[in-house]
Amino acid sequence: MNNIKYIVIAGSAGSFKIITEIVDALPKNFPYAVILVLHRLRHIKQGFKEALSAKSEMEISEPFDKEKIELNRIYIAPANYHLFLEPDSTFALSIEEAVNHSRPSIDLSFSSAGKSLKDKVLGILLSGANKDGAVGLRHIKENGGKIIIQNPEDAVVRTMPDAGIKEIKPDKILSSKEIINFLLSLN
Amino acid sequence: MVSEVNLRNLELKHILKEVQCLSGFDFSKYAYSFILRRTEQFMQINSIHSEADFIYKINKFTNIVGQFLDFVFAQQFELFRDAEVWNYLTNKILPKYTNRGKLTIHFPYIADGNDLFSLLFILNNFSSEKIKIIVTGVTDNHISILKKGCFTEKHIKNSTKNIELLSPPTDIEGVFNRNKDCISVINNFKGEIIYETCDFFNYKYLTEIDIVIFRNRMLNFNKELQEKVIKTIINSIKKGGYLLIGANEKIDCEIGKKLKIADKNFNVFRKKIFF
Repeated sequence: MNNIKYIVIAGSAGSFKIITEIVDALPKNFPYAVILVLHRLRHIKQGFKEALSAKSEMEISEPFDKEKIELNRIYIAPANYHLFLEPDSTFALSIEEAVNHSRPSIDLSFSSAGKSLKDKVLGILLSGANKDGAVGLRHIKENGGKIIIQNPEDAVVRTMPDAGIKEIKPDKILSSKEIINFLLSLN
Repeated sequence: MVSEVNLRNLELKHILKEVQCLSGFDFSKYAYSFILRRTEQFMQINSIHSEADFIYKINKFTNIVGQFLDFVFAQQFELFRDAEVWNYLTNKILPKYTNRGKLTIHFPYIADGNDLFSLLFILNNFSSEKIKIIVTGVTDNHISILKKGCFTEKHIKNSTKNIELLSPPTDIEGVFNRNKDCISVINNFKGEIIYETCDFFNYKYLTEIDIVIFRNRMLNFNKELQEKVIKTIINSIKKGGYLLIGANEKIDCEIGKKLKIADKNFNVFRKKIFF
């Protein structure tokens, strides 16, 4: 995990609780860029960032297109856009069609992170009710990145972690508590 | 099942160079992930399995280059995306122009008719005789598709929620007209629409535009091209005129100082009178 700089955490149904626990647990000096890609309602653009920011010590924002990815910050994929990570460590947004009925699509974010930022990426897939993210995890792994999948037994909805495990052997399968402890151990 | 295509950087560069040789279209200033993803998708859909296969086919079947250009840019499948922005245009911006005589609206660099026909629909609420709309399309083929103004069931499905949020309220039946050949948007536009092809590398300088609707088009460009394009566009707007960009697009170059925020939530800007 020595090269990791970008931690992309993704989830859907049932993931909000663990996401808030992760965000609340990360210390102010956490030296990674944390990128959250969550399935959200397309027409509700406000309130999500504010809800996550309530107890977080880290700065949280929704990135603009072509914004530089800074370490020591949390980013949330904006509603109704796909979020790509570019080779020059910037974000790129797209309004192309939904993938896996989702925009943002986890597959697209994971895949672009893997292809663009290679072994600097750690992808974490959490609870969710569809298979979005599985193929993207494989692209992270194939490009030298690391992947963690939430233990399906621990997930509120296990479809997404199950699909990830079926697609590619993860580096770790962890419960929500273990994921938080693991992230804190990186600091 | 469609097999997955994964292009390496160099393979993508070779393909785009070949496309440029055949079509003159330069993708070197486009956003990497955008063009990579669209190229891979095009190859998957058309059962093109490798760089060599792509280059062979575009040289053998000349129509494939055109299909590729159509595909790369035609992305949006919804009308009234960000309904609140269309409401802002309807209720805050357009009424200011109702007694002012001529109004010129520009849609730069569009590849689909979603925003154009969203505007034509909301103009049903206004007298449109004195309105001129300039539509600059990415390619000639995009313009011919735009002129037909045909939409699909997918557009209707994707637009339903947006239409529910429009003010004044309307319903799907009030927006779309279905006949056997085409689903079209109901509009009574009586002004002038000028269609032309736009190439931002050799851009014709427009001036005296009242409103520019340029939402989410910059997403396709890299930072360098974004800055060049936005400079051209801001210079084309009349003092006091409006610029609408996408919700998560940003203008952070020097030329942006010529603008002030008209509405922060909707990313609507006005060109300053004095700067």
